[in-house]
Amino acid sequence: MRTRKHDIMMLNMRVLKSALSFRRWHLPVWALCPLGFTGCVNIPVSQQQDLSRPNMVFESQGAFASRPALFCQTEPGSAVSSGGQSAGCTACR
Amino acid sequence: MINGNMKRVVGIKRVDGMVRWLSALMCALISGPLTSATPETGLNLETMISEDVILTDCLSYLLVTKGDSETVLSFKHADFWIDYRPAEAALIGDTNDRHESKDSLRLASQGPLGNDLLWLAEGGGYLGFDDFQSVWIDEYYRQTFKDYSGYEEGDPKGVDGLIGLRWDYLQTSGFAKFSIFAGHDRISPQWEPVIGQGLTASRSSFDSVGGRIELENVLTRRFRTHNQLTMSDISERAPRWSFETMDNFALTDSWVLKGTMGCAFENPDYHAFWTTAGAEWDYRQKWFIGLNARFYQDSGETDDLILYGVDAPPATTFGASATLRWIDGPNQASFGIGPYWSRFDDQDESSPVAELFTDRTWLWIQLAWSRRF
Repeated sequence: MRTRKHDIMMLNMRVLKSALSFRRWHLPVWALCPLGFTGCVNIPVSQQQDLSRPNMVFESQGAFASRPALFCQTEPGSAVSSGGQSAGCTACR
Repeated sequence: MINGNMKRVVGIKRVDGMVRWLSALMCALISGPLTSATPETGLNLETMISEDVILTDCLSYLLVTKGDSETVLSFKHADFWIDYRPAEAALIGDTNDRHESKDSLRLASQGPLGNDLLWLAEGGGYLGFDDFQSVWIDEYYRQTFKDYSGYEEGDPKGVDGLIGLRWDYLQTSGFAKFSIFAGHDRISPQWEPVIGQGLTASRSSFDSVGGRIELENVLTRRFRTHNQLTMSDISERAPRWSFETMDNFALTDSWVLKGTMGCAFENPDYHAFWTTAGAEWDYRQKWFIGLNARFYQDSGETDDLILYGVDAPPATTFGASATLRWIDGPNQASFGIGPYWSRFDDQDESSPVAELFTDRTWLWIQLAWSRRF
């Protein structure tokens, strides 16, 4: 037997499903959201023990490098290096 | 055993001496006494193996740091092994095991420019194909037109440069990088017989220019984020915009969560999306064990007449990996391994290179080592 509570729940599910479904125009919105994470907080050096851990730093080379090199061949759109092929991946292919 | 240990010590001292000699040479670029510079060297080996394609990538580098100045000289050697198979739509062709390689050299440097400002400069060049898709398509054209008058084998190469500024607007907590780059690339052209003109080649070189903005911030005592926005414009294509965010969060004293999200757009219809997620646990900050997953999807190349001559269909890739990393004083090492899948939608069986865009299952392996002297 349908109840008002059931109808509201089904409507919420449809709205949620629609919101989560991928639309091309969603991309700029999702892409810009992380810009909100560029903060202006100054953390004192004495409180940066966790931030200075080797796996917390974004390295471009070495054993703790942040980005594997070969995936840009199968994921061409994700190649975001300086645009030079000598760097390993082109930014646009 | 004593003689073995002595030989090992002598060996390390010889390598140490070579690195210090190279560091002295590089320190002449940043001027200053060698004793105050910190050199680091490293080696990264990476491979992806599938049934018909094997890729390898070997990067070696020398990094010298002195205060705010830093110079990195890196050399990369990549290999592509393909088991070429002609498509059913190709009029002629044979199977062929082909091997190509790519060698590239790069020099990057930065130095102080004033209060909280650093200048950035990079440059490099390469010889060889950029990826296995280029090798496969070149093989198709070679087999099809090698007996035609006017055909020339491809000889890809290129150079590029970058200049920029880094601004530490929050000392130790946040910085911004602004850079512009340009490059010139020579590619293996596409060939087409034209009535009255014979065999003609498509455009064989292109220029690229672009710019990037990077922002790295610490938001809390445990949260570090890196965002970058890139615009890249290649000859006769619409500009491509890319955005990526990388985030590291120290959940506890031993656990770190990592995430990446990115997207790219190019008119008229190209778009790509990717994301990675991972967790890493460390034991006394000496041993690090991590699990990672990644996902990528794009809409396929829609206007690639300049580069490939065939349309790459929409691609979806996903993978998982486990990593083990070790750090002990000046030495660091890592090992990673995991499966990886690449899938294509709407595969065009009438394409002469249809066998290139087939679903593949890969094994990804990475080994890395570095040492600070």
